[in-house]
Amino acid sequence: MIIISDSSSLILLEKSEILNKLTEKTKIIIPNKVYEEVVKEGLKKNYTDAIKINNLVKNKRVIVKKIKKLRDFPITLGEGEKEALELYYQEKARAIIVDDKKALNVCKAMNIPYITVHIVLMDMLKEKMINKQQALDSLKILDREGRYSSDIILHYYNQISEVK
Amino acid sequence: MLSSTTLRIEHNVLENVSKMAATLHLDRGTFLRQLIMQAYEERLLELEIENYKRGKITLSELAEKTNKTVWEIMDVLKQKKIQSNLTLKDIKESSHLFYQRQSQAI
Repeated sequence: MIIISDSSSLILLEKSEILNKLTEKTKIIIPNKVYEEVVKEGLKKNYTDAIKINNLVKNKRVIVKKIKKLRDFPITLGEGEKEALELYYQEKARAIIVDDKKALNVCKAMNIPYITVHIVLMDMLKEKMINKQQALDSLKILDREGRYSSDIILHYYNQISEVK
Repeated sequence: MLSSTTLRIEHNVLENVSKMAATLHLDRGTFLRQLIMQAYEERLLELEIENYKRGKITLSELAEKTNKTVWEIMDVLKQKKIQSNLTLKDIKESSHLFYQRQSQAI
């Protein structure tokens, strides 16, 4: 399964300690611009998680691809997001991981399947790629780093707790 | 390139600015430029964060508009305790569309 990620989602996947495991079964592809925003700029500013993401890129666990042609989007978006959406079409991906309302609304309008890090986390738990405790630990980090509302966190806390 | 402008400031404020500039071993002009730039950046950040909260711009756009990296802007939002603009409904809908497509593919 091919999934495209935008910059903030890739950072959240790494921070919540599920990116490495996720790449065992899912092909994560990012465009050049997301690589620049996450790895190059992250390394310049000494973010240690950027080193970890870069290692996954070096080991071809996260694939960086160049956009062949960038279409004109009807509304403004960040450069990384535009390239990520284009890459979705180019790579015939299954979905794109996004982490904010505007990006999500654009996906909705363009009929592009989108997921958030929460969905990835639940999927990994259901597929037994991670155990319940790991899922709860990751959710705790997501709560802190992703700044989600308490109803989102509570909903996924209950979902994780219900998984047998 | 520097350009000049004239503005009127209350006497006591200007006096305090001069005193603080002297304490910092800066000339008053340099210190005022620093203060204006600092205040401008903070105001710009506040305005763009409001746009982000309303879903008018994405997180990457917020970073671009405020001359920060995505990492830095995520840290800023965390420090300022700005909640993500995603709702539970958004996330549930995303899951719905994804699994719908997945089952069609199978």
